[in-house]
This record gives sequence, structure tokens and C-alpha cells, in this order.
Amino acid sequence: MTAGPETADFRRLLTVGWPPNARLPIRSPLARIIMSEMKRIRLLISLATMLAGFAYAADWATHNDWASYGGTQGAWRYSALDQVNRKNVKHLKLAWAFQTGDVEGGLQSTPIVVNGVMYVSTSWNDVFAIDAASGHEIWHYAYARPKSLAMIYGPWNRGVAVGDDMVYVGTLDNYVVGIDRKTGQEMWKTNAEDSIQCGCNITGAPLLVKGKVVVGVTGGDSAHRGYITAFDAKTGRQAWRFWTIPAKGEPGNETWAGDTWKVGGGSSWMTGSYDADLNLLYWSVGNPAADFYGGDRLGANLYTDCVVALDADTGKLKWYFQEVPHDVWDFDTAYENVLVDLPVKGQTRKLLINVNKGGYAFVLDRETGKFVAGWPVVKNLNWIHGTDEQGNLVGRNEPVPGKATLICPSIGGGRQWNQAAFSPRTNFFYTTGIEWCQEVTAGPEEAHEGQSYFGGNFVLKMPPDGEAGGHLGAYNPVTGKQVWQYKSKYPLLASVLATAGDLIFCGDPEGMFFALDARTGEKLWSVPTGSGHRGSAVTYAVNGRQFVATPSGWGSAVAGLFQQLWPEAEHFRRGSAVFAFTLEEGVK
Amino acid sequence: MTFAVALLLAQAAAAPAAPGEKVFLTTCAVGYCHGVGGAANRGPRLRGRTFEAGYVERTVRHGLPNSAMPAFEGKLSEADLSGVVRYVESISSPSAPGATAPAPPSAPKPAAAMPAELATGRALFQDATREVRCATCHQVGTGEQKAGPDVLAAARRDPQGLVAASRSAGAKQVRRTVMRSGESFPARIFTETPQMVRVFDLSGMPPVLRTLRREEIVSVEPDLEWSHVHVTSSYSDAELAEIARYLAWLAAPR
Repeated sequence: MTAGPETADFRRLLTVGWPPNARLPIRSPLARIIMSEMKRIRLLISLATMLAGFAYAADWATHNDWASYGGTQGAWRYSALDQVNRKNVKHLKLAWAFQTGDVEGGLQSTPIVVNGVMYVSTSWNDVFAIDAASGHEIWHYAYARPKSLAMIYGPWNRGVAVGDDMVYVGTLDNYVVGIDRKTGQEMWKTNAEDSIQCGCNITGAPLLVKGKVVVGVTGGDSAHRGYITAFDAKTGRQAWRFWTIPAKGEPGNETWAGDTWKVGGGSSWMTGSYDADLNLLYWSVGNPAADFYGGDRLGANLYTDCVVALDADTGKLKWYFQEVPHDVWDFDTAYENVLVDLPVKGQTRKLLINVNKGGYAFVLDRETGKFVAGWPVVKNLNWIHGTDEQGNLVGRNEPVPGKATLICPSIGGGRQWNQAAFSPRTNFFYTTGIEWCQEVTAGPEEAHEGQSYFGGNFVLKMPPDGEAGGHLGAYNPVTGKQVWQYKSKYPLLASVLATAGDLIFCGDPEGMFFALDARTGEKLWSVPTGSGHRGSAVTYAVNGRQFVATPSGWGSAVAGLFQQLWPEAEHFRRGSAVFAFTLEEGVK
Repeated sequence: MTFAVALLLAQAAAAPAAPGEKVFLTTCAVGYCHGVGGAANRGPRLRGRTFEAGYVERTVRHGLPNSAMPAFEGKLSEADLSGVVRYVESISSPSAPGATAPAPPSAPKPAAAMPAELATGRALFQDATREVRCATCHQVGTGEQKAGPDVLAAARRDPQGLVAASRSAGAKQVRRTVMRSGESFPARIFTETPQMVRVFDLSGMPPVLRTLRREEIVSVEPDLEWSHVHVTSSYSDAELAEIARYLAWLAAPR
């Protein structure tokens, strides 16, 4: 949800305004007087806006509900609830726990909470509706498991989308399902592409935009051509498809040598964001295939590693920004797009922040796609020196085919897909980061449709001058200046949750769920939940009582990767549960 | 022939693990699969693990259903496959003394190799560059619920008539479904219960499996307008003939 109705009206008044754009005839002298007053008031307000910076900024905070994967469609992962705050967070107690029983792959979901009901998807695409205050099950939708898949991506699922009547989920065999919100009855099911043939599927949460369910697809590390698809929310009929790699004859296809565009990867495996005022759907595209070897696919390889802005009604491309042309590191752009209005050189601009898997944050103008700023999220980053004023990469350090090349960060990323958060109270951008490196040996590989297509292998390494590990830091969103950093022994693979109580919540791979002071990074509270965190905590309120709920349950590809540097991670316990916390009785 | 065998033996004597290790490196230790040297990665650690006798070979040949481990029989040559199995067994730990190999489960028979001249038909059947292709509605041998009927049964019954059938057939099972909301669309009934009817909505591609409450349905009548030709128009007659040849081979008893 974007700005509330009052703010939107006000903004329309300022932009459309009265003369000279007014359609109303100016007849009465009184009207003329009022009009000139309006002009003066408008001028004053504009001045105030510039001074205040954020007075008419779009508000993407959540309130009682957590209605969308990123909180709201602006992906702030920030709640305006402040009943739980820095003073009383130590009085959080367990309200309830819900076990899904589906432990393979862990619980990587973001629970969605609307009107006191929590909807959560599990690794094998079951969906539960849970009473968010009591933890009791309302209904359980059991997805018909595919009979036999060679599943490169999965089993895991990052969440559902919830509309007025239905709950939507993407599946391991590349279907999209619409489920009746009251009863859990499947209402429609449609196939995005034959998953046995393509070796691809849906693991990210759908985004509901203007009556359409929008989903991405995996397959970026396979011989596959990616896409973003929208289905009619009511009937499941396909509304549009945006191919992330243009076909022959389409602009951008010339950035692929020969026929490599047919198997170029370009997956769209996470969840996009939406700005209703601009009617722009923002989605991020992943790496080109073969990941490490670009010798066959000479060219910039559009639109891999791009943020694309699509017309939400038609799926047509409005603008794109390519973060990594001709990627040979597997540094996906695929992660979330945080939409935020901030002053840049004294002028408020509509921005979009995307953290690239290579551990580098890109700040773009979300109206035009122009580069605004870029900054590293990690210390150990040697694949580029940085970016220039236009956002071009400077100092590319590419793997040399046939030769073990040290690349930092590792294929696990300088940041993983677990999302960042933005707080409009502190104006900080809170993101995790991972310090680790790898030796990559790249080489040519034959592409086979639907099969993995990496073009090389890798061995994880400690950074040359320090320890591997993780952190969660607070940064100036535009300059990247670090305000504080919380260090973690193991990389943090859970999303960050920010609240108006000036709290930052996250969870670690051993199962510790914790709260930090949003202003200082001091740890204020923690509780062990028994299994590592690979999903996303949320907060919501039911009948005036605030809850903080987190999935707990370790799994994922990177969980396996860990073991190369931390062998003890082989024994990290699996699980799949939601834990909900609330303040002890009597605590304010 | 004897020269090749001698060469192989010489190679084996010189570097017993080398061929399997190389195949492992380029096939198994790639990307998010197994780690180099059998280290842990997204796929489980193999080095130093203990495997039941026969487990590694079974798993490499037939894969693990509903996991990321594919079946490599047919994808790797028999020599490469044996080499990889020997390599993995060489880096693993021996099993406890006295362990006996359990009887292997009856493995699916390896599929008879498809004649090379049928590759075109197969590729056309599942052509991912077409908006609508045969595989959109028909499955061959996977058991997946799809909108169209079993095309192999049709191929078995009348292989010669497949091309004509794909230009006209389908009307028999397609129903014009009219809803109280005013919606009207062609559909193929999938299942029915006293309260619900599940249908494949054919009004657009891909088809949608929809669950309709009986009280929302006004009528379900034969749809005389819908024709298969609506969705096969992107294929030429020659292409359909190739596909028919492929399906006929698939359907033939062996």
C-alpha cells in the first residue's frame, strides 16, 4: 500500500492543482480569490516539503497487518507499530508456536497477516491459515506433491500473496495456485512452463498488483530463458509475460552472441515491488548462464542483472538498469527493491535501492532508472573496484578460464536473498552482509535444456586478511556510510525487520532470534528457537496487542555451502515452525 | 579393440582414480551441486561418508526422486558412470565390517534409445519458444495432470490419423461452461464431486485448472465451436507429421 488517501489527495492538489491545469471554469470572483490563495499555499507547502524532506514521501510502513511479502509493496519491512519498543522488548514472551511438520528445506517463508489471520507457505507448498493471536490452525491446504522431479531449485518456498478472496502460492513444479481464503479450497491452478523440461520452478512469493498475481521463475543457473508472468487473480488466466531475455529481432537480443539467448538464464526468482503513483512494477533479474563462463555469450547479456520497471497493466518494459553487464560471477541483481523517497543533494528524489548479490548496493531513480549512487555492503569485495558516476562497473576482476581465481565475495554472495529493511524514523537502511571468498575455476560447458549450466566450479575460502563471518549493519541509504554494525559468527540468512519501536529483529543460523536497538545496534533481547533462521520475521497487531512472529527452520542451498568453511554446520538442526511473541501481561 | 583395452588397462594402472575424478569435477562438482573433491556444498558431503554397498551406483544411475539429484544413466557413458561411482567410493569411508548389501530395489528398465531421426518431432512437441505447444496440454509418460487427453493412447489407436486429429479433434470432450457471473468459456472436465466441478479452462493458454462450485454454474453443454486447430495453428503439416512419428514410436509396445 502506498500513501494514505489524505496524502494522495494533497499530492494531487499540488501537482494537478488549480489554474493553469484546472478543468473547473473560473467564474466567481470568490473562486478567483480562493485560487490565488491556493497558489500561495501551494508555494509555501512546496518550500516546506523541500525543507522537511519527507513530508509527502510515500509511506510504505505496515500497521496492524503485514499484508505483503515486503510488508507493503514498497518493501520497507518496516512496521509503524511501537507497542513493543526499546524499553520493554526484554519483556517479550512466547505467545504460541506452530509446527508445520514440513522440515525439508526449512521454513523460508514470510508469513502474511491480514485481519488477525496468518498465512504461511511451507517448503513443499502446503499453505496454513493460522489464528494470529492464538496460534490455532484454521485450515491446511496440502499441495499435491509432484511425482518425480529433478529439482535444482528447492524444496523451499518464500511465501504467499493474499488478496480479498484468495491466497496465492507458486510451486516446486512451476504452477501458480489460487486458494479460497476462508476455506483453503483450491480454486485455480495453472502451469507457467513444464518444470520437468525446463528444470525451473517458482520459489519466490507472488506479488498481487491490480488484480493480477505476478510471479518470477528460477532457472538462472540452468540452460533456460527466464520470464516474469502475471495471471488474472480471479480466474488464473495468463495476463502477460515479460521475457527477461529478448528474442531475435527484439531490442537487446543483439547483446547475446549467436543463439546463447535461448539458454541465457535471466531468472526472476524473488519478489518485486510496486509504486501505484507511477504504476510501475519493479522486478530484479538474475545472472546469465553459464554463470562463470561468458566466452560463448559475448555481449552485455540484457536484461540479466537488471532492475526492470514494467507497466503493471501490460508488462511492457518502461526502463531498465543493468547493474552487472556480462556477469561472470553469478552476482544476481534478483533481490528486493526497496522504494524510498530521500533527499539527494538537497532535492527529494524517488529512489529504489537494490543490493546486488556481489555485495554492492545500487541506488537508482525509480522514475527514470538513472543511477544515483552505489556503495559496498561488505569489506571483502574484489570483483570490482566500484562504480563511476553513471553506475558503470570499474575495475572488473573476472575469473580466468582454466585458472583458479580468488573472488570475493563467494558464490554465496556478499549478501543473500534475505531482505533488508528501511526505517523512516532513523532513515537508516539495515542490511546483512557476508564476508567470505572463493577460488573459481571457470571453463566452457555444453548447454542442455533444463539442466544446470554453471561453466565452472568453486571452493570456498576464508578472506585473505581476516575471518569469514556475517554482519547486520545500519547505513545511510544514499552514501552507504556505516552507522553501526552487529557482527555474527555465522552469516545471517534471515530478513531484517524494523519497527517504530526503534527495534531491529533478525535470526541466526543456530536459531537465536534477537532484537537490536535501531539507533545503536546494541542487542536488547534474544531467545533461542532451536533451529536456524532462513525466513523473515514480521510484526502485526490483533485487538490492540502487538505480536512479533518469526519462522524458524534451517535449510537452503547456502546452508549446505556453509559447511565448506564451518564443517559443524552439517549438524545444524532442521525444523519448520512459527514462533509468535508478545509483551508479558501488564507490561506497557 | 584389444589395443583400446590395453590402453585402458595401462591408464588404470598408472592413475586408477583419474578418469572418474575428472568426470566428477566437470559433472558433479559444478555450481550448487557437490563440492570439489566431495566436500560439502548445496549437495551433501561425500568425502568421508559411509555408503551402503551399491548405494552410490544406484543413486548415480537413477537419481533421487523429488530432489536435486538427477539420474545420470543415459546422460553419462557407461565408462564415465562407472568411473564416477568408483571415484566416489574411493573418497568415502568403508562401511562397517559385516555389512551386507541389501537387495537393490527393482530399478526402472533403462529406456530404449530413441532413434535419432525422431529428435525433431520430440523437440517440436515441447518447443519452449512457441507460446502454445503440444506439451502445454499433453503429457507423455509423466503422469502429470494436464488439460488434454492421453495423446499416447490416441497414437497407439491410430498413428496414421494423428495429424488430421490434431487439426480437428477435441470438440467431443470440450464443454461450453456458462457461469452465473456471466462468464462463458470452453472447458474440459477433470473431476466432479457433489459440491464442485474441476475443469480445465481452455479460454486462454496455458489452460487453468479451476474449481467451480456447482451453484455458480448455469450450464455445461457440448462446445461445438472449439476445435483443436485453434491451438495447433502455429505448427505446419510437416511439423505435425514429425511429431506424429515421434508419438507413434513412444506409444509402440516394446
